[in-house]
Order: sequence, then structure tokens, then C-alpha cells
Amino acid sequence: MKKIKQPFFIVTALLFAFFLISILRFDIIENVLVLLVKPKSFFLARVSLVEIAKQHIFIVIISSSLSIIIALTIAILTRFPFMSDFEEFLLGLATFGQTIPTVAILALLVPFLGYGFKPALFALFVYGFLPVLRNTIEGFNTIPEEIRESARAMGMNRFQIITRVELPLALPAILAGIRISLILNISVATIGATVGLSGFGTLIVNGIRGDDTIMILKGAIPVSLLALAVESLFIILEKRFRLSAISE
Amino acid sequence: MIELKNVTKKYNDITALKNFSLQIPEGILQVLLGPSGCGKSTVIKLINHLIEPTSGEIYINNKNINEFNLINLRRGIGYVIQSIGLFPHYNVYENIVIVPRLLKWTKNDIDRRVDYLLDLVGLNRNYKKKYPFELSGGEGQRVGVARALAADPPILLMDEPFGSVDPLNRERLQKEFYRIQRELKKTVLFVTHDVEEAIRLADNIAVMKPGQLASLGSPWDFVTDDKEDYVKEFLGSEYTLKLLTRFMVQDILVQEKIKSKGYIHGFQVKKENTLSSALSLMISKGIDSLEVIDEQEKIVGSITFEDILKNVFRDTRK
Repeated sequence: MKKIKQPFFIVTALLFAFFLISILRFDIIENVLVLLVKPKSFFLARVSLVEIAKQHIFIVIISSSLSIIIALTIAILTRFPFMSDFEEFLLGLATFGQTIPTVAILALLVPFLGYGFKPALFALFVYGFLPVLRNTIEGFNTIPEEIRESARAMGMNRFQIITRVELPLALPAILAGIRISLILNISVATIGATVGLSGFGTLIVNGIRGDDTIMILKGAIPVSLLALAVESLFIILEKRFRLSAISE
Repeated sequence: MIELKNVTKKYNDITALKNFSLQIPEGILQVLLGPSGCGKSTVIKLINHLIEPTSGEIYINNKNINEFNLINLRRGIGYVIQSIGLFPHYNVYENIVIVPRLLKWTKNDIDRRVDYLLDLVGLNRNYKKKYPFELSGGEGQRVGVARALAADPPILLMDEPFGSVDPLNRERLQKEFYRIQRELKKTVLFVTHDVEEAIRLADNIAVMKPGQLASLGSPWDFVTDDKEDYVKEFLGSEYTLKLLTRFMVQDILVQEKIKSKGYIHGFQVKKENTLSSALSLMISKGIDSLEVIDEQEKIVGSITFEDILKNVFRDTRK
């Protein structure tokens, strides 16, 4: 196993550090920002960023865990003969589903689920679910047939083939799916503010309404840093597993 | 013993194998020789039950393979394929121990077995920690053989195992596998399209034409003229010359026979070289005898063109 180059770690660590600073001590950034943009309503900006970050991360974790668990389960089930016919259908569904814009899904859900946590959670779940499902199925499909054949010929049963061969070999693809799912959810959770979900999006939406640039940035900067940090963390993870998993 | 009785295998409309029968006695290396797409691999996959025959029966030690527990059957059969099929996420050690681990051997037994196998296939023991992508084609194939032998299965199925290795390494692997097989005496079904490879390794050769057995016999049996045109054409008109690669100079060397001075022309051949290389040397130098030397380059005897004529094919020229 080769070592992953240090800059990756440094960048990831820095991004997380910046994110923490941005939610814990936004006043530092704010002092710089007031020099650049004209502050509007200071009193509105006095919301606990830590509280908002908690809410934002909480819904992302809940929805992503749900979508990862369910997507992985379904993808693994397609490895069994009785489900293999569904594989193509699921793959099509996953690709198709992702082409529907987030806002459209959110808007469509409001009449059924109302405003607030529920429709947002559902939209997040759907969006997070599809990339994990698609990447996992495709990860399985890229495993060379002769490897699967060797595994069978050595007397591995279906379960052993999945746990010892297919899942480890598909891991980089699965991790990529989880990464896309998390990033999507971080951004969808922001848009969720339009249907009443509290998170960094709330600040952005309120900031736009009140024409308050600082407030918009107070939501936009931390959420961007969070997305970047998560992305770079997963890139490291994927590299770590790809090095041992791909023979090229 | 492996026995296929009137086996037919159809894939939809295509008949890959038609009424195919073959017996492989215990301890015999049976080569299945034929062009690509003639159904050789199908035979192999039928035996470890990766595919089901459309009709016909397959027996291992006189027991129908349908009566075996599928998983146990496969764990008792070593399987080597051309693309090796090593698991890229496992290192050499982990790849070799897959079946022993499935069979729940103790760590001690496994470790001892891996050391033995690495020595057997001629790989340094410090290769254990290497990953497949760090290995050359030849090394990977050695690991593949070691993995197939890991749980000491009585049967080995090998599907063009050395097909993707360069000619030099292929010859080396063939020689080593020949030595390993002499030592272990497994029942082997070895599939190849390479006539020379078949000659080097086989106890018995089965020549296949699409879907069917064309001819069966020992490598010597194919020297005679009574074979059908298809077989003669496939083996090629140089078959007899190729058969010389199976012999080493020492096989026909009479120790004390050093001819009087003047007879020997001073050209030397190592006793572990093949007869075909000895013959090449004679032809290229325009001579009919060679001195034979051993590893220490000491002269141990001589061979002549006549020796080759007299000894190699004496059984086939009746």
C-alpha cells in the first residue's frame, strides 16, 4: 500500500479548520467583510452559527445515513439471482432521478408533506440515495468476470463472494457515490430553507430577503467550506482504497 | 479419476460440446488441445460445475458430481485460468490462503503451507506482502498455481494458464510445472491451443475439433500417420520436431559413451538442454555429434544424430 501524499491531508485539515473557524468565530470574517460590503441590519445577524451548523449537519447525516444504508442494501440484493433482473431498471431509475432539479422535487413535495423538516428530509433522502445506488451497482459491474469466476471456482458461496470480493473491490466506487451523495445533500439542505428547513440556507434566504450581503455570506461561506472539506476527505479515502484495489 | 460421459452443452442455439467423453486416470496430466472456441474451456467449467451440462454425466472418482456438495467439490479442485484471476485487493499471501482459510485451517498450518508453496513455484518468500499489481505476468501466474495448490487438492484444472506470459517465461513456467507435477502427481486437466506446450507437459493429449474429441493418445501416438487430416493439420507437419522439445539431452545420454578423438567436433551442449536445441546446434554447425557437459561444465558424454534417430522414436516406428 502506497502512502497518500501529504498535501491532501493538509488541504483537508485546513478546510475543516476554516469551516470550524467560520462557524465559531464568524466575527473575524465579518470584520473583514464590513470593509468590503455595506452592513445592513446587524441585529438580524446575531443568530448562533453553531446552532445552525448543528441543524444543517444533523439533517445531512440523518438523510445520508438512510440513503446509504438503503441504497447499499438494494445494490447488494441485485447481486442475488432473484433480484438481478431489476439491476438495469434501478440503474436507469437512478440516472433518470438525478436529472430532476432539486427545487422541482421540493416544490412538488410541499402539497403532500407540507413545509418544514419532512419534505426536505424526503428530498434529501431521494437525492442521496440515487448516486450511492448507481455507483454501487456500477462498482460491482466493473469487477472483471474472471475474478468472480475464480472466487466461485475456489468454493466461495454467494455471501463470501459479496463480502470478501465484490464489496472490497467496489469500495472506491461506493465511496465516490457516498461522497457525491453527501455533497449533494449539503447543498440540497441549503435549498431546503425555501420549504422551511433550518440550516445555513435560512441565513441565505433571509439575507436575500433583507438585502443583507453579510448575512448571505454568513450562510454561504460555512456551507461552502463544509462541502469542500467533506469532498476532500472522501477523495483521500477513495485514494486510500483505490491504491490497493486497482491493479493498474 | 475424472470421467465425462456423453456430455453435451448447449448455449441457447449454439452447441459448445457434443457427446463428449473423456477419462482422466488418477495422477495423469491430460492436455486438451484445440483451436480457440472449440469448447475446451467448457469442459473445464463443467468439471468444477461452474456450468451445467445440457445432457450427459460427469464423475469424479466414480461419483456423479451432482452428488457432491458444490462448495466442497470446488474446494477440492485447484483452478488456474489465463487471466490468473488473482484478487487485486489481496496480497500474495492472502491470495494463496483463500481456500485453506475457507477450510478453516489453523494459522500455523497455513503459514507453513504458504512457505512450502512459494518455494515450490520458485518465488521468494518475501513476495508474501506484494500485491498483484506489483507482480510481472510470470510471477502472477506462479502465485496462481500456488493458490490452486494451496489446499492440496487432488485435481487441478488449468485453462491456458501460461497463455498471457511471454515466450521465455512461458517455457520456464512449463518446465517448472512439469517438475512440480512429477513431484505431486495430481490429476490434471490442462487446456491449451499451443502444440509445443501440450508436448512438453502431457501424459496424454486429447485433440479437439469444434465441440468434439478428434483424437486421443500419448504425445508419441501422434507421430504416426494414421490420424485424420484435421488432427494432422492442427498438429502441423513439424510435430515430430516439436516432440524433441520434450526430451532433454540427458534422457538419451549414455554416461560412459565418449567417442574417440576426432569424432567429436568440439561443440558442447548442456545435458539439461532439450534435444531440439541439440539438433539445432548440429544443423547450424553442420556436424552430427556434440559433447555433453554438466552444470560444472565438465564433459560427461556425447550425443550423435544417430542417437536421436535411434532412441527417441523407437517405439513409434513399428
